[in-house]
Amino acid sequence: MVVRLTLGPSGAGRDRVARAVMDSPRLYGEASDPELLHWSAGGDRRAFGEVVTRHGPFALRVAARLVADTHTAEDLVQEAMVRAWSQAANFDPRRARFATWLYRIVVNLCIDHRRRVQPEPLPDNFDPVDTTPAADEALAASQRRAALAKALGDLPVRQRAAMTLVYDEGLSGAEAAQILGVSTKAVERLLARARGTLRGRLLAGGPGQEMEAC
Amino acid sequence: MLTLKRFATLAASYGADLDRWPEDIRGEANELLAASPEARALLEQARTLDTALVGNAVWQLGEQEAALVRLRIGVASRIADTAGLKPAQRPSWRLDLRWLGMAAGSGLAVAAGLAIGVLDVPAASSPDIVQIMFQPAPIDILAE
Repeated sequence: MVVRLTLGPSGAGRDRVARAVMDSPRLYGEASDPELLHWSAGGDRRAFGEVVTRHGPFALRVAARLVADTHTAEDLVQEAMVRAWSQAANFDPRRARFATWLYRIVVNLCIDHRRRVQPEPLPDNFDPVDTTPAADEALAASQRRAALAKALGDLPVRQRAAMTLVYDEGLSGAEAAQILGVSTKAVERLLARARGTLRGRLLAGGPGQEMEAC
Repeated sequence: MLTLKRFATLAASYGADLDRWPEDIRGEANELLAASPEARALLEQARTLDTALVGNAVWQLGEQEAALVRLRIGVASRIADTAGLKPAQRPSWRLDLRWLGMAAGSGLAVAAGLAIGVLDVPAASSPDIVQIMFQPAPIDILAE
């Protein structure tokens, strides 16, 4: 006679345990990016909400520096996030970090947008003059900021992207290279060209004198 | 051994802040700076441009937070659309999202959420309007 022993809950009990495991709350805030994307691929929109919360600020900052206005930046980042959602099942964490993958989508959308749209020049009354006596210093600062914004905005978009990633967001040259899909040396060339142009635009003394990487 | 030519190239790319330079070369860069007046001069030249590049803020105070709220709402809506939720289950987007964003930026996010509708908020957690909107469960929305 054979006695079969059943360990653990049987039948309906097993189903209850399985449901309890499935229904246990996912700790979205503590989950890694690959986990969140894995859950998102399975249709978990709360998981993707955490993705948006976690990576949205960086994406918005980068996009806002690459395109003409913040409203367009928001639209492009939204599009990037929706594409990431639809492609979540295709993401392979062994091939790239999720952040690199996502930010590449953002940057590429911004680059494509810049190439399609000719940016509008700043209007003549962009920086209205304040004639109050105490406004001279504030005016000078405002003019410097406007000149900086204009000079940065006039850079070729890939140079602007390299500057944004390295100077504004603090990424290494290697990290920026992964997002841009180029070599680290190529990023250094982009940065050097951008700095050369900016030096000529922003500093007194004529054209940029900085050496460019070969 | 880091050459002066390579040092100049790196300064032209990364500027005067060695924290931006490749990590594996910073030690050699510091050694060269200690030994070479030319290297120090190159770094000072790069620093003048670095100073001019400061102050490139894109978002004013609160604007980025408001933009993030709008982003989360917009993404949630488009994801819900692609999931094929029935209209009664989808968040209502009749309010102008930029108004909502500005309200969020000025600290009125909760009030804006109450204006949108009645949401099933777990008692133990602080109300996160956008998080609720990412939930697949049906949401009762008050008509405008």
